[in-house]
Amino acid sequence: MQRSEHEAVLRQGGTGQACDPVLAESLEVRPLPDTESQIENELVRLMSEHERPIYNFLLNLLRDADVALDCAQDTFLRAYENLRKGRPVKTQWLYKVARNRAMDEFRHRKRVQPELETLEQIPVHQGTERSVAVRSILESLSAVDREVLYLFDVAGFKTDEIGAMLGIRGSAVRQRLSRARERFRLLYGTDR
Amino acid sequence: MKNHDRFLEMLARRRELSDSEEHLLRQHLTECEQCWRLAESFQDQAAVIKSLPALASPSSLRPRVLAAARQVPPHHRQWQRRPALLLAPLAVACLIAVLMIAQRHHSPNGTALSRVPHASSVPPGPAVKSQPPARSVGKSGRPIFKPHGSSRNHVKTSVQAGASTLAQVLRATPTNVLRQPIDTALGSVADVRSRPDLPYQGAAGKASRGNAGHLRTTPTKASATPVSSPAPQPTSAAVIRAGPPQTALKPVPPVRITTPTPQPTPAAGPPRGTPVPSPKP
Repeated sequence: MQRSEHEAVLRQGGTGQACDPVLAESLEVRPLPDTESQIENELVRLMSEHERPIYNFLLNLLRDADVALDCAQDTFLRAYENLRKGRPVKTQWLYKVARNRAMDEFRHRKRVQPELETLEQIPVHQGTERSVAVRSILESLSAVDREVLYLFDVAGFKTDEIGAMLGIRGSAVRQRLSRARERFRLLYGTDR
Repeated sequence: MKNHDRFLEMLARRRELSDSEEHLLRQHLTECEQCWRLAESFQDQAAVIKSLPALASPSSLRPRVLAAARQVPPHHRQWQRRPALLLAPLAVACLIAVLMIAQRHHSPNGTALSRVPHASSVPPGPAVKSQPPARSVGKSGRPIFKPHGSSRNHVKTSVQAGASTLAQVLRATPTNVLRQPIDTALGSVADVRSRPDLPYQGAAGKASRGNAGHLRTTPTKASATPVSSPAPQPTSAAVIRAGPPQTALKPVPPVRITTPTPQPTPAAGPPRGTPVPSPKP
């Protein structure tokens, strides 16, 4: 959305809220920052809101804490550049950037260290026995299955939104989700 | 089975089902025990995954991002960084304007080329599209070229037709055979020019330049001045009109090329395709 459209929506809705709450939620309408300090404040706000889920998403996808940290840093830097260009940053966009960055990392890994497994670099999970078991099952699934399960169940996106993020159709996401659930069920059933 | 797969997919994304889909699924679950068990399992699975405790992001992430953000150079639009980019479209516009002016000045008769309608834009008349230009035979037996009208389109069409005929002739005829009649024709024109007793019409030059549509090469009794020798050979324009060189090289009786006569406008004149009556001698 361009700045003028964004501001028009703002004018319509008053102080940062559009008339239609559903529309406001979907657009995540907020006044666009102008000065450098405002941009930085907006970045801090974005990070406090999305830092943890984005990092967990990347960690779930990459299974490497250091690489996940690097990717999260790049994602928020991209968000900062976007804010400076006067473009709004949505949650979906953040996940898309993070996912693309993770895919770049996968390609790099394949090229540099094809058979290196970084399971030992995953942080030790603290929690109940059940959560540890669930995590280990998730880690034994493929990245595609993990990704779609995480985005649907944890991040709370709809299948069409995930499709837009991954660049595939919603029907393909639904199929992937169904298969991932079936694989998870098989592992979880035997593990329990 | 395909229907069963559909319900499996619906079970996998049960959170986002619409009311009608949920109703349909519930109906199916009452009938299918297998799907009912899957539904329970998937529901449990979603709850388990969702309840996984999220790991805290490293404390170093935020300072790292902010430090890196402060090192990013200030954002400028591209034209602010390179003002010369603003001049590029201006230069292109000037170039186009200059080219258009130059084209207008070099067009024939000083008019813009765009004013001359293209041959393809001419409304399809029966004579232009379906029939060749009307030909009739004069008293001497020589074919007489009669253009259908005097408009520029017809001139253009006839010139194009002549050019294509010439190209065909040039392709079909060997070079040595081709040279001979052209030389002869040029020589004969020079002879006619050099003889003061013979009437020489300068309009022949116009005919070769493509204004043949305005000319009529009909033999008239008044102008039938006997020319004994040498017999005037047809010029290249005449070769174009007359067709193959064999026909053009036949000795023909002397012709008088009259000056261009104003032709009636297409609107006022006879409709296209109707043969223009040859002028009375």
